[in-house]
Amino acid sequence: MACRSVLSSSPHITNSMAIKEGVLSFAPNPPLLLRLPKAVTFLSFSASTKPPTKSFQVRSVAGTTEAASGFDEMISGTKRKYYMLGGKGGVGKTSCAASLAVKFANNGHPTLVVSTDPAHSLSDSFAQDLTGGALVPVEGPDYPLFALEINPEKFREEFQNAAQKKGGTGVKDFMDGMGLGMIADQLGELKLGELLDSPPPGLDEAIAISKVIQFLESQEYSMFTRIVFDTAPTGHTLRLLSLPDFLDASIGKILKLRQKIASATSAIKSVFGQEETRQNAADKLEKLRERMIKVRELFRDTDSTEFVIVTIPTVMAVSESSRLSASLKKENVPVKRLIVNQILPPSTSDCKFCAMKRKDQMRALDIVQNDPELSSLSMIQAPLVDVEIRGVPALKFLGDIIWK
Amino acid sequence: MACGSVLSSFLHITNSMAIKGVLSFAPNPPLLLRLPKAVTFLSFSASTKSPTKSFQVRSIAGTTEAASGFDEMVSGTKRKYYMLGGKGGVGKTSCAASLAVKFANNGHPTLVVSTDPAHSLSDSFAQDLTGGALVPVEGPDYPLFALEINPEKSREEFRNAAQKNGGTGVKDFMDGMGLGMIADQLGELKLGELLDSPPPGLDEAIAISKVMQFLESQEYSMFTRIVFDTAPTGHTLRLLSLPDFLDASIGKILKLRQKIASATSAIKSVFGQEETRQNAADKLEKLRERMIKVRELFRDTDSTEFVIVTIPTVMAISESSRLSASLKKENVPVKRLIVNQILPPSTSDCKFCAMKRKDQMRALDIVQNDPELSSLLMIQAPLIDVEIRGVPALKFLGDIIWK
Repeated sequence: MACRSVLSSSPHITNSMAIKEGVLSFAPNPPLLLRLPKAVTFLSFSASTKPPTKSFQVRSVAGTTEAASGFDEMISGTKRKYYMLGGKGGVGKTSCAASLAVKFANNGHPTLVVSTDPAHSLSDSFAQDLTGGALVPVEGPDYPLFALEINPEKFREEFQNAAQKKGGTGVKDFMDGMGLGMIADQLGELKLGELLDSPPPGLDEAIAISKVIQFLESQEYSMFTRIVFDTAPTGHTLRLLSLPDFLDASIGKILKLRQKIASATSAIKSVFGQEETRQNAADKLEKLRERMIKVRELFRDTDSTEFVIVTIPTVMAVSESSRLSASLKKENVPVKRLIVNQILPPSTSDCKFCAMKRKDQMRALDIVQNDPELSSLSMIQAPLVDVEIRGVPALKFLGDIIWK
Repeated sequence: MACGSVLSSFLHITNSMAIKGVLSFAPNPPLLLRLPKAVTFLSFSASTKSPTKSFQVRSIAGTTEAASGFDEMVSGTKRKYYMLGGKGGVGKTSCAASLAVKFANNGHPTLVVSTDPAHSLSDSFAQDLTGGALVPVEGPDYPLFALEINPEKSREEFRNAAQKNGGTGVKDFMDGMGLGMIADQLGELKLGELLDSPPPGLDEAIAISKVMQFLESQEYSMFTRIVFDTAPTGHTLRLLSLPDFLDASIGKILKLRQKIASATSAIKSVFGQEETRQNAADKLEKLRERMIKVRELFRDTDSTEFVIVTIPTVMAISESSRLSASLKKENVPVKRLIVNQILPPSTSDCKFCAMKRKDQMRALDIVQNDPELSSLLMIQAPLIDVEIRGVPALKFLGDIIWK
């Protein structure tokens, strides 16, 4: 099957070349088509978009209106761009994110694809073990492609290290200075520092994203010009967007508290000589806070960030996508594209089941067209493929269908 | 064709009667005849892997089938909780809603709760269930209520419980030490506001504890079956770790308050603020106790069961295996696995369906051989050509899955 996928990719590359030239036309290659394996002839081109300009192509198979999904715009320029793919669970976000990353890499952009979904299916999609919390090179694409499955446990430990040194000793020192040694000892039993040993759920996601940004700011990783985030299902995404505000509030207050206490006890502190240790801990917290602010700004940067909603053509999934779009708009996150995945490909020999399913899907697509939230997005239709898309060759095939 | 399908359905109902034994019910042919035309294509394909098997001869290709253990699920009037979870988009909401409908139609007053922030329960019942209050669902024979938990509302409750604790305590303490000036400066920080921004995910646990509070009251003692439609896998794992986190953090806050109170008891009597602070502490203590109850509920093998829902693809099964391992690690009872969206048998497969079916069979083999999933009772649910929305459709689906 891998072999057949590779072969079937060829004509689509031709399409991509034509589109990139800006002519939006291509010459069909009959001899090449004739060599396509029998099984893949069933698959047919069904991607379409709703941009202002449309291009109609006459083909031997039933004519379908088609136009670029704006991939030219996505790959233009060497400035770093971030793409976050999100939506209802199980609609194919991971496959879409992985195929987009492969397509970026094959178009000359060193690319990093990151999974922030705690359920980690990126390894499954690439058919390669990407766990471990470090950058792993993906085998197959023409240009560098790295993947990162964020390990929550690892980042939680880092958070503990950054915060643990702060809580416990501050109060004790303060009260010692007031001659309340006995009370301070009692308070010490509480080990207040441990309050921060159990960070709230969801925090590790934002820290992980800020870590990715830290990664990319270093010279070692300056080569990446495209970063694709495979986000968690809808609910998680909405949580993720609200995290930076929460962290800014809580960490900010802790730092201010420290500052005021420090100024009040500066004289006493000099005697005990603990300035250095506490300063280091505070610096770490401050840096963490700054990174959170950067994450929040990144989410709303219309120039370098785009959130792509992925859905499937059912009433329930479209309803959920509409709610997601409304929430993202409320959070000022830029959204331009909507991928409707798992659409039955055209067929001349539908069985009763597929005929009924197709009718249902068309109805759902009509709902998208009329939805006030979703109708303003550029819609990309992706086909339902009869085998699972796993491994780089299959992802390349899928990417050439969706992103053009 | 319509007539054929009706007859076929009749045969399957007969099988169901035989399987259920004492829990028999009379089929209602006139009702079947009124099924919409669109569903005539649907055919029966549910099967399970239980120790006892029952082979039924039928006019269509014979399929081994046995009860999915619904008798066990429906027996007894003691309250039971069912949590349905799994990878997103595999049909958890439809399975949860159909289970709730089936419970209600079998005489159990039932409550179905959605803890998924993406709330699709309203879509599944085709009825607006938002608002954060119990809403009666129209249609079933016995009482069925639904609740979509409103995170905003629950968050406000948490804020009210915690707000009175943080801000004034420090100020009072320092005033008592004659450090009025410093206390005023600290007051600017409004430390109480630290708890105005509760960590994400907290509202879910509070909502579940609120549901339990609901159910402990006399007003709602009638519910004997509660079905939770949980969020996708990642959320579920977070949910399971929340009670431990809350026990740690709230516990420490309460202990801190206790020690400070004892140290400043003399001063406090002068300012006469005992009552206000005590109330706030009581609320936090109750919240903490509820969290402990939630954690215990998750691990109670007698009254709680977590049902994993998946679809027959390699990726979904891999994720379900990881979920099962995590639940086992957390000592959450898991007995059943629903494999949803299986193509029904057909005599006229097109090329696409033939290929898809082959792929699905391969995935089912992986389930059989997976060390985590093979020990679970597997229920196969069919892929239906129309969306299951509304109580009649959910009843139909429930009769296929739960038997």
